[in-house]
Amino acid sequence: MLNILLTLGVIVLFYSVALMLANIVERIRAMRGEELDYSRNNQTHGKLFMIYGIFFLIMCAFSLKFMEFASLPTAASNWGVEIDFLFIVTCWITGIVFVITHIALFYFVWKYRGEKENKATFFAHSGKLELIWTSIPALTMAVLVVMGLKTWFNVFPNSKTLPANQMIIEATAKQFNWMLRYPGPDGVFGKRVISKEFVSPDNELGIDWTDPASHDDFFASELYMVKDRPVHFNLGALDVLHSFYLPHFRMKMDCVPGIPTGIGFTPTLTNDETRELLKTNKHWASIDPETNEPRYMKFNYELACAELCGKSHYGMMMPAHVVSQSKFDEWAKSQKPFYEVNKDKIQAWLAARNLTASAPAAHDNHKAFNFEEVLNKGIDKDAVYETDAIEFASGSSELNAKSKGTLDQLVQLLEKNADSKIALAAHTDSDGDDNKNLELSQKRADACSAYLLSKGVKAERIAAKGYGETQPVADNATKEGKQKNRRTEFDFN
Amino acid sequence: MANTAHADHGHHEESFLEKYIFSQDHKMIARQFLFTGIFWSIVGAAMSVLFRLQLGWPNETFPFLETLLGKWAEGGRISNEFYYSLVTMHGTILVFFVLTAGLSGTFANLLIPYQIGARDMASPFMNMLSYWFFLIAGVLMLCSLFVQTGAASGGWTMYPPLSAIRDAKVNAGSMWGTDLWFLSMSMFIVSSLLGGLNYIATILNLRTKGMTMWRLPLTVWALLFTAILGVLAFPPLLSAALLLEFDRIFDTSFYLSDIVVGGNLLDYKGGSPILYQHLFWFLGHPEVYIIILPAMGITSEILAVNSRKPVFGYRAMVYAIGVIVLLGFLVWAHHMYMSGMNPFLGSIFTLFTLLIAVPSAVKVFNWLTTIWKGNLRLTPGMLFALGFVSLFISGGLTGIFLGNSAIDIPLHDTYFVVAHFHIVMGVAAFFAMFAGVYHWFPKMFGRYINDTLGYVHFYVTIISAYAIFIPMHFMLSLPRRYYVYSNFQTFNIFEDVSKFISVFAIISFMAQILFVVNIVYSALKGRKFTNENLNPWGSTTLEWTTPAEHLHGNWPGELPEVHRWPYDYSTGYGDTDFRSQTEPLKEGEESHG
Repeated sequence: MLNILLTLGVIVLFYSVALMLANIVERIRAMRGEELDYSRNNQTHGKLFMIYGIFFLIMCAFSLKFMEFASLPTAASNWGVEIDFLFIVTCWITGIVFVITHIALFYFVWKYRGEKENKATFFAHSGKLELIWTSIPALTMAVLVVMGLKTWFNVFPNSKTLPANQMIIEATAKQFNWMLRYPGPDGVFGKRVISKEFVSPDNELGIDWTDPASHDDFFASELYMVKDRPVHFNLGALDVLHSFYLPHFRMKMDCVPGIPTGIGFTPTLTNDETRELLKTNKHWASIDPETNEPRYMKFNYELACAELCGKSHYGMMMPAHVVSQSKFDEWAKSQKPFYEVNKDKIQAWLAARNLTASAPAAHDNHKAFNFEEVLNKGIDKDAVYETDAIEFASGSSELNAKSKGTLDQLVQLLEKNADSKIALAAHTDSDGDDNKNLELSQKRADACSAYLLSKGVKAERIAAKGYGETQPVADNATKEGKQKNRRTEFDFN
Repeated sequence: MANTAHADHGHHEESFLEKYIFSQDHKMIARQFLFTGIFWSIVGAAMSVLFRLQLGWPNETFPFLETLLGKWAEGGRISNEFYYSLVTMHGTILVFFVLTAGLSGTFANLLIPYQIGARDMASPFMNMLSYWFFLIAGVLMLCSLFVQTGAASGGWTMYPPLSAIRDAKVNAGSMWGTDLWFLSMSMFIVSSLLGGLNYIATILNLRTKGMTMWRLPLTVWALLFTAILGVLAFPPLLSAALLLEFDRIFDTSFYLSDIVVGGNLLDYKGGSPILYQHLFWFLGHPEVYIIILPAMGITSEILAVNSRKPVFGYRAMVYAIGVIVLLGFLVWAHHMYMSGMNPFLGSIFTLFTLLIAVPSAVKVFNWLTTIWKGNLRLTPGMLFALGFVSLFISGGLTGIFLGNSAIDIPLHDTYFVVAHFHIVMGVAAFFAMFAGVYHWFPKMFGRYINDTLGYVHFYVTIISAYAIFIPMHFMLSLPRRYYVYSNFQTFNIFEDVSKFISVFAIISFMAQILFVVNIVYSALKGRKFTNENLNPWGSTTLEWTTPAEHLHGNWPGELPEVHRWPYDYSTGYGDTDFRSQTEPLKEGEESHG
């Protein structure tokens, strides 16, 4: 308490002294009869303002240099790169205006500081000048609007077509963490029902555990994305507003209770690649005293909350990773589906509600490919067609005549349906090394794609991907099962 | 023209209560607004100093904080809940109580009747009520700081559901603190509607003989447009607040749907949190123009008087304000690009938002041309007006980034936004307010303000304001409203910069105290403003034709008659470099309106 009073005393003293000194200066002015004659002040402050101005502009330039460490590394997403470009263009335009107008301001104050013998020039209006400085900003703004909206509509396209091969992740925010749900090998999220019956403390999301699609869904404690593979986030919130913010990807979108939102992009740099970039950053290159290593070594992308959501708003951190497809698959495989791990709990949950989980009617949108039928009835865009009529010798990615025949049929279908695209997926059984299988399936998918290309199908209409043994449709323990798992699928969209 | 009969009983004896407390005199009400505004700006700024202590030295403890704040700063460190209350209150107080009521209330009251040649407001009684509702709003807001669960802490925008769920587990500040917040804001809205209607009626109806619209000083034009904005924009906020209170108290679902707290689904169904944001920003965006337009008017006036030149492009300035007002109503959703509203809407709001840069640029270039080839008298008021121009440029340009929806994706709700709006509507508006106080101090208090302290105030403030906010632009990855940022390795790099900013925040705060000391001291002891020199700045406008002492009714005899526009400086006619608006045109003299 004494300290506080003492400090207050010092402060009062400080202001009293300031007031006294200022009064003395004013008295001197009064003695000179200059109470309202500002000639002397005009000289002083015309120059002082100029000195301040030079100092100000130098400090602005200096802070550009000094604050360099704070700039984020190159954007790690496709849209991020576009947005950064737009940012830089705007920086240049506004920077030039900033410098010119400020130089004018400081120069005019210095140059036209009042003197008794001087007279101001009466200059009240000039239509020409005003036209110039109405139209130039208007044109500049037009350019920025056009550029901005182009990027904006790239990020949020009007059309509903999804990029082929897009990965969908569900992110739900609550006080004070993120719940990330991946759809698992079937690529389909288990349904959610927002009702008092389904939502409970052990099932905050209201997942319908009777839906077989929910059984392979898994929750992740860290965000994983695949390099160069489009990702879309289905966003939501349980309690209050949150905002899904990935600074390194320049992406952000609010999570709103009751209203689904979303944002998508393609990650372009892996964590390792960004670490590499950070080596030149003053902060990140410095040694972390805790680990005795340069800070960039421990770098990970981070997911943050950007909408005030309560007292621990600042704590909603989740590490994020961009990895290759194979590393991703490895990680995904290590993630146990929630249903499997918590079977007992879920059974209890189901029992309490008189529900039973139906057996997995897996791949109900999968159809055997029958050329005649598709040709006559038209493409079913909701279906994924399976065929074993694209054959390969064991370990090989050479197309034989039968396979080529099937692919020719696809070419025909694509010609007939000029607006549709095709996504090819090659799968293997579980024999042999995982990574080899993945590689092989990719080669096989590529071979199919190359064949279609050679038949004149445009590249932008084809997506081809190998999944290795990651998405079995049947039991790999039996011969029949293996036969079923060795398959090629294609999806028209 | 306007009630000349009033003149005869112009000055009659008033009791203390009538004169100082329940005053209906615009000059006294102006001072009431000013002093209440000063009180709130000290409170609001002190709050910012408190949370800057936390941000600058997150790992230090300050025992005196515990002495002062008790449980809100246990161990000498501000708690996170209190931090969010401080941030919320700082924003609310400065946006509404200081920069809306303090700035508009002071200068609309002081200048409108004076500069249009009226004896008082159209309804002095309503004018008094406007102040008293403002005071009640303030008392309620002050009370909310002392409730047990803490003051409102949902951010000054009070977005639901955070502000709507009356559950201490979700947010302690959303209990009584938020109820009082909304009650206080309702009173505030009543105050600003009463004031605004009165200002409009006064300007339209009580102009003296010869005072056509095109002879109004730009201050009055700006205050007129401000009042129109306020009258049109505040009612939606009142309805937004009312609906939110319904959600809070009667469990309606205007803004809430599918809320899960602690694993339990609440009963709300079918509401939209985004609806609140639309209603809020329908006021909220015009609100920034409600703040900045009077500032622009004051700046235009002070630049012209002290440059001894007419404002360049007087009519263009008026049109520019008009266009800003019109567009100001069409851009609210640029605060909501990332809210989850339809992205197509975002594109339209981008277009209108960037369009506002055009009238704003016209104003800046016109100000620069106003001082060009002038004969500048660098009073403290003039320096602050020049500072306003600098700040308006700096802050306006960063708006071009944020208005562009695509760039807003990463920048939304980061320190870049904090830097932008603090410069353009915080510091800039404050500078115009300072300029106005220095310039009209003799008129307001019958004494001169101490210039030396004014100069010190100017340089310390402009340097520290820029020292605070320029570095913040570079913290553009850091989300705002973070109590600490050490949880993120990405953000945990701003320790030194934060200290730097906090130091300058404290310096700036001390400079403002110096200003308040100056006002109080000069109003009591300053050099007297006497009838021998009634027009110290050589100004053309009518307020300087009234006597030094305040008369109820302003002019002792007849009301002045106006013969010319307000910017006849250095016309080459007459023996001084200004021609008062009351002076008839000479033969051959050009008429400007």
